[in-house]
Amino acid sequence: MSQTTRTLMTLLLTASLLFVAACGDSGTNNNNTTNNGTTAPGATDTQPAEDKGEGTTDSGAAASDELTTIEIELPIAQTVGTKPEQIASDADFDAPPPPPLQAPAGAVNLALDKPVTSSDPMPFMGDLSYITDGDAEAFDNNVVELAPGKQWVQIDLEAPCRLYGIATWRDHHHIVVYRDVVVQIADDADFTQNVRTVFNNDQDNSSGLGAGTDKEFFEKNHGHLVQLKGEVARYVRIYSNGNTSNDQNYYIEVAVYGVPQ
Amino acid sequence: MKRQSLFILGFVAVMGLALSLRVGNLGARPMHADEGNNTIIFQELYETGRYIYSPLDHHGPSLYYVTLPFVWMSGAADFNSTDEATYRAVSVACGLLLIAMLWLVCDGLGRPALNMAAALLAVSPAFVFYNRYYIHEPLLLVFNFGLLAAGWRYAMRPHIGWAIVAGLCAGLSFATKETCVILWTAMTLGAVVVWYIERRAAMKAAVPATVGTAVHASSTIINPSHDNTPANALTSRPLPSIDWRHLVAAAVAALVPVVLLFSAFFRHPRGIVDSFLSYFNYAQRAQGAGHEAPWYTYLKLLAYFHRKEEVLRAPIWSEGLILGLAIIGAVVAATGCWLSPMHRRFARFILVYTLFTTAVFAAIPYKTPWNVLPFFQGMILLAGIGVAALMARAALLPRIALAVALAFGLIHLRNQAVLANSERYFASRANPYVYAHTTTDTVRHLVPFVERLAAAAPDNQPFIIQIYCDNAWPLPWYLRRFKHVGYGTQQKLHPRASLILVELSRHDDLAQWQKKLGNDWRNPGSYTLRPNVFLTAFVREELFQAMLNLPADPAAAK
Repeated sequence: MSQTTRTLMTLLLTASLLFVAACGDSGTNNNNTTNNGTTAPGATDTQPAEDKGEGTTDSGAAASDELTTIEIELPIAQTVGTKPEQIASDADFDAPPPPPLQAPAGAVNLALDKPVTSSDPMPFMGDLSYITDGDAEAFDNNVVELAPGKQWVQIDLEAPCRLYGIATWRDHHHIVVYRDVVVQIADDADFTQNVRTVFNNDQDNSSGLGAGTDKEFFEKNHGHLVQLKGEVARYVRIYSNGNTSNDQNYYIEVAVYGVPQ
Repeated sequence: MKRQSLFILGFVAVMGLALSLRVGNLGARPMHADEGNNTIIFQELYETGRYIYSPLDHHGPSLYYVTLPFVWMSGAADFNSTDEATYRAVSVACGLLLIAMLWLVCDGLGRPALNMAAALLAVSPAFVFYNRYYIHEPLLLVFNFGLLAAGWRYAMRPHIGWAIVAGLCAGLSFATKETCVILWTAMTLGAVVVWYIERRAAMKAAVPATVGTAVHASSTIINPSHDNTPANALTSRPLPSIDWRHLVAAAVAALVPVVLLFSAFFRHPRGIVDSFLSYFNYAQRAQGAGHEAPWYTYLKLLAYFHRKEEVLRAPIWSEGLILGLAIIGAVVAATGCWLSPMHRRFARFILVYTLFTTAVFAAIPYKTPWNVLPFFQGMILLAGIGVAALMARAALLPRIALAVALAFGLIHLRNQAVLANSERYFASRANPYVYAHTTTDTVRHLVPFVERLAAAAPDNQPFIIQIYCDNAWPLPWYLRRFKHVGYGTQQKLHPRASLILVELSRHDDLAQWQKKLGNDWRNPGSYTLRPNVFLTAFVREELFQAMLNLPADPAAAK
């Protein structure tokens, strides 16, 4: 084989490899574009997520991963009321359980024991570490009470991870609706890089984070699950703005399901 | 400084304390359904001069007439511009007047007991809480205690003036709340018991006694040095015999407010008849009407209240100090030990009055926490009597120890009163005096939301609100500025309705309403009117979008 032939074959091979590689990238991007949505299982509707990120949208690199049902261990339902008949009527608000979490096999709660920060660094009750201690039971000593009004909690997963679900349990002693729930993910702790809003039921934009279209939901023991499609992020931030019973913001547990990138 | 000046100074300080606990941030707590209801009844009287008494619901008219000068003095241009604080100021004034009126029974109570009772009334969380509440009880207590005090004054020195005052107070208390008959019965029973005891004592002493006289030969005046009232310098005066002319004068005086107020100054004469017929209805309602609770509810509420199972960080509440001191006062009153004859007579009267009212309110299945006030006032008077007797009896060091303990007790009560009226607890189920209260959510979220929608509504169309809820009170108060508001579960949906608020009783109500209304309507959120009463909002999409385009300040939008 002449030098010229060998050179041509090398060029062809290189071009072929580049073509194949380009096709692979293209496929991934398409998948990300069409599936960059979230589900809000506690809500009645499934809403497309609004990309309010200032950076670019992450590629959902796990498009080829096979998703499976991940069992989430639910805390005990222990709603209380002032009278027995009220407790009974509370049962009427038992909406159907949310769809199960879909994630690749091996997905775990990445938030477990990870550091938590908040807009209220000194909670009235409890400690921020309770939020990622893996215990979602509605016992008094599990509850973290943040200051009234708009507040957030933030979890640092300590590395970029591929996320499939963010589950939040607020105080589910009572049948209440939390106001202006907004869930965001980002690449940096200050939420300036690649911020994505994956759930927002602040329809009148009273919290100033943009008007959302998701529905409100009653707090129950099954918590509130936002399903993701493998978005990559390191930080998760959850906003609330009091609840229908009082202005306080109570949190028991946040679990972030996914796989390390 | 003379001892008398000290007592007066102490009383003035107590009044100052009472005032400071009652006036701060008076309008902050959301209006209770009953408060809202009272304001709307007042509205008709204020705007039209009409008042129609309903024998089926609500209470007497005196509250609304008494409110008139408060609203006039507030400077409000019209009903819509009145505020919560103006209405609650009526109850604040009643609370202060109730304490000041203790001076009318000073000779019966004694100054130490008077000051102690005044201090307990000033700081009692129950009294402070409901003295900031626009309901009938504070006014009822004023008129009722006016009757009691005038009756006492008459018993000490019969005079037609006191008979007329007593009659007026009786008529006004009748025109305030139907439960006055329980208090009248208690007073009558107290008078009869005191009369009987004194008569028997007189007979035992083998002194000729006739009806209406009493002799107190065996009385022991223990505390002359602590009570220099002229009345106490004497032995007890005999109870007076009945003067029929005075009785007639009192009856006529009682009829005057009944006739004038229930008939709305002769505009609605039927109201006079209805005021008596209402007792048939209230006898029925007393069986419970959804407010049933065990007999010990009130006593438990006052002694120890901790709703830890329902509310996070629920504090422990207790007015046990007053209950404990009242028991001591009751023992002192019953035995008559350590009391002068004059004080003994009053103490026994109050004891019977308190025992009877407590027993009756405990026995009535219908229970709401503001009904503790009538008998708790009696307990506070007994507590004052108990403290005065202990202080008079104790040696110097125990007396100092007792004074210190009482000071701490008063501070504790005062702190609970402050906590009960704080933003955190004034509408919380952790508070023993909160009952089916409107949530802060209504005031902070629902009402501003409605106002913001109204600001976005087109000027050339009426802003129509329809509220599908069994009991929407106090929304008529909060939505008083809107002309087109429909209430009731059976109302037809108006074709041009702008906003619908629906009470949710099941989770699928929401989906059913959304299906019924279609895609032109948006469900932006839900609100809690009272605990476990959820209202969800449906707004026309077009209007909602217009609201989103409003500037942040809705006032600036119009």
